Amino acid sequence: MAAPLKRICCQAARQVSIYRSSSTTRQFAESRQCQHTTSRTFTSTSTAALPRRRGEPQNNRRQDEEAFSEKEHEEVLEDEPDIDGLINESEISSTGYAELEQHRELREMVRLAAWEMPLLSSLSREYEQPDPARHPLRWRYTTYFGEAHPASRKVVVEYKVSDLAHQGLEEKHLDKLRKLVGARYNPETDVVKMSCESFETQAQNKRFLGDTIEKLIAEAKDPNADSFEDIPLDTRHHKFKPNYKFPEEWKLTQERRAELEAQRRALLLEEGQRVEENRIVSGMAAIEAERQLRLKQVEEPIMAEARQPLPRGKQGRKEMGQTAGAQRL
Amino acid sequence: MASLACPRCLRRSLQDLETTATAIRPQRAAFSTSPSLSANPPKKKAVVAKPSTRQGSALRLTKNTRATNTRPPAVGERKELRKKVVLSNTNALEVLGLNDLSKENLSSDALHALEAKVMGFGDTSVDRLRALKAFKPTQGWNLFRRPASLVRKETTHLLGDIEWVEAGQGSRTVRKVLYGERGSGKSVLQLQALAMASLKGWFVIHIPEAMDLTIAHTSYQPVTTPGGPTRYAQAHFACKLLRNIRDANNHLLSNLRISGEHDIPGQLKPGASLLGLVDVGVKEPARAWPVWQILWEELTLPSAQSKGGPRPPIMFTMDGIDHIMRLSAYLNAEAQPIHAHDLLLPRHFIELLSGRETLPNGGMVLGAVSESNRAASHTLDHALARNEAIQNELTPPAWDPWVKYDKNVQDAMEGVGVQRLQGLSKEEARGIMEYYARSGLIRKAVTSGLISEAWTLAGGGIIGEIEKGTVKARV
Repeated sequence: MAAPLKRICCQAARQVSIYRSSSTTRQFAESRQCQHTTSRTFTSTSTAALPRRRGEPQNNRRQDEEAFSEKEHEEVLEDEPDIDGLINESEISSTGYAELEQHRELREMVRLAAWEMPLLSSLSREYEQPDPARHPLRWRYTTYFGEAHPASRKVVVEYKVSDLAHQGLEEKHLDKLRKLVGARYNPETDVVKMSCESFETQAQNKRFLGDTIEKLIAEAKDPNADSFEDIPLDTRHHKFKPNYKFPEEWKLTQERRAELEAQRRALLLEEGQRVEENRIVSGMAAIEAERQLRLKQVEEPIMAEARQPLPRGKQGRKEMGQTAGAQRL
Repeated sequence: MASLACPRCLRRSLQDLETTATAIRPQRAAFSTSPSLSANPPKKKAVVAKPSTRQGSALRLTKNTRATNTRPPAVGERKELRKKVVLSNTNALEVLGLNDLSKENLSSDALHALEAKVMGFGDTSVDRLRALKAFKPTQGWNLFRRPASLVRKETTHLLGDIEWVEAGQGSRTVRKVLYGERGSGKSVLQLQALAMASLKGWFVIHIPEAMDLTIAHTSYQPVTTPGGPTRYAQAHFACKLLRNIRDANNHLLSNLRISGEHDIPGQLKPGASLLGLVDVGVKEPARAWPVWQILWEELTLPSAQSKGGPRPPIMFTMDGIDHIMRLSAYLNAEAQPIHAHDLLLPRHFIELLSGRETLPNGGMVLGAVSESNRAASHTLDHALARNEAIQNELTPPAWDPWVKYDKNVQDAMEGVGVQRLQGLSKEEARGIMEYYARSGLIRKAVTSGLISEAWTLAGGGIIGEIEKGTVKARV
């Protein structure tokens, strides 16, 4: 933004100098402007007039920007009004004006921020929590910043049922109210949440909610109506979330550390004693012991005989069960 | 009794459906000399399966035709293999000094001294438990040389219960439901209870899977009770159960005589032994349920009144009790599901468990919840939680008024004792792991470090998980 602004400012400065040095009148300028707007609305510096102006504006470069800022509107100059269709390059384009306007606005804001806004803190007040006894209802509206949106008409109201006790409801009335509102009731927080978007406008929806709450309270208080005391509160719509807390006895305090250390030491001692007394059971040892036992067992004579190699000629007899050993079976 | 035609499928009779259950079904007398008068039934045409022109969706070239010269598995063969209980492993080492549970060490004090030790089952015990189908194929009996189990704290408590019943001279009954995490040893505790009761000379009855009663895999028939609702008898299951009972309690049944007057089906003399009575039910499924009723009547005669010998206390157990705490898969005549409590056999157990029917000679009714194949029964869950809180003198969780509970189950579980099985203690874990090592199934030395590791990884000493992690796991 800075570069074009600078260019426009420079241009304006040149014009001012021209205005001051030349004797052109306002009527001139006005008539030129009218003509100009009809013919060319968005002009910029044209190359046609350049050679004539090249020499002169050098001296006026250092003109103060703010000196002309108030007057530009009137001070549009026209050097050659009678040359129709020719573009005067000393004039500011409408885009330029817009940019200048913007810049001015910005400056205004900056000024406000610098001078006025620090004074706002003198208006600050301490936050006071709204008293639930006086204002039990918490309303929620939605804005889409002027845009049309189907949800912008929605109004939500929340209230804690126990806060309504200040409105002259007894405990049994509150219990009935909890049953009446059904699934809008949150049994963990004791809060009822109601919403309405059936009507066209926010105000209508809010009105409806307010009326409904009034009706609910009236119904809850009504001594002639059913008190629903025989019906248990239905909380099937709500999923209770378990709130896990770190168990107190799991915390590693100094005492607990010492206790654990003592336990481990006792276990170690016991284990050491077991090792000393050779009471540790090991699978490998059990398998080895069994193997040794089997090795020591005296082999049955028939098995030993079967193990003996026979001369080749008798092999067949043995297989046929004709040897002496085989017959003994 | 109603005919055996199945109301669900009218084409086939139940006799064809469950031929395995019928032990003997003679068409005519085996040694009769007279020729049978009736003509031979016409031979059925053998059904010849049409060779289908399509041989499956896979591309069949000449090379990849599979030669199948093995016969396909017969009906029930694979299931039999799956359900086979192997109780011995000759490759496992024999554990030296493994004592058996016997009458000598079957007192609370003696057993208390044996806590955290593994005790074997004697041969007779094993036979009886086997007859009762109390061993299950998933329990890892096939890993060890012979069946043995850990004596844990709860075992001693159960023995205490048994002793308490015995001390009452027949006036006391213990009604309990075991529950707890999967693999926490509920079924094995039940097995121990059966073994101990059997050693004490009790009459033992065990239903190993309650699921079999309710998933509509066995026959059922309506029985109209006088002036009451229709109940359903399960003849074939009762027949099987009677056979198990006969095999497990043979020594008791042969000594007990029938004392009352009954309308006994078949040719049974009034003073015959109960074994003969049970045999009638075992032979004919159609008579199994009446026989069961008569047997029960006989067993629950007060010992003082019975002429046929003093009646023993009864241990009646059922595993997977959650399956009978809901609607069964059977349908009634209106095609509505039948509640499991309307089936007579589960109903009998429930009546005993809830205390509506008493055991005049004392006894114990022990149910166990199954967690491996859990049937959804939220009423049972809530009742268990409630009963435990009441037992521990805490405020019981209230019945939610907005949840639909099963009234039958609520009534049945009212006042029933519950016992929650949790993990082993470290001491017990040491006992079982040393037994594993002695059997040669763990090779490492059983140090307290190893025990702690296994105990922790097993979710705080869940015994099934300890076994999985140390013995069954193969890396």
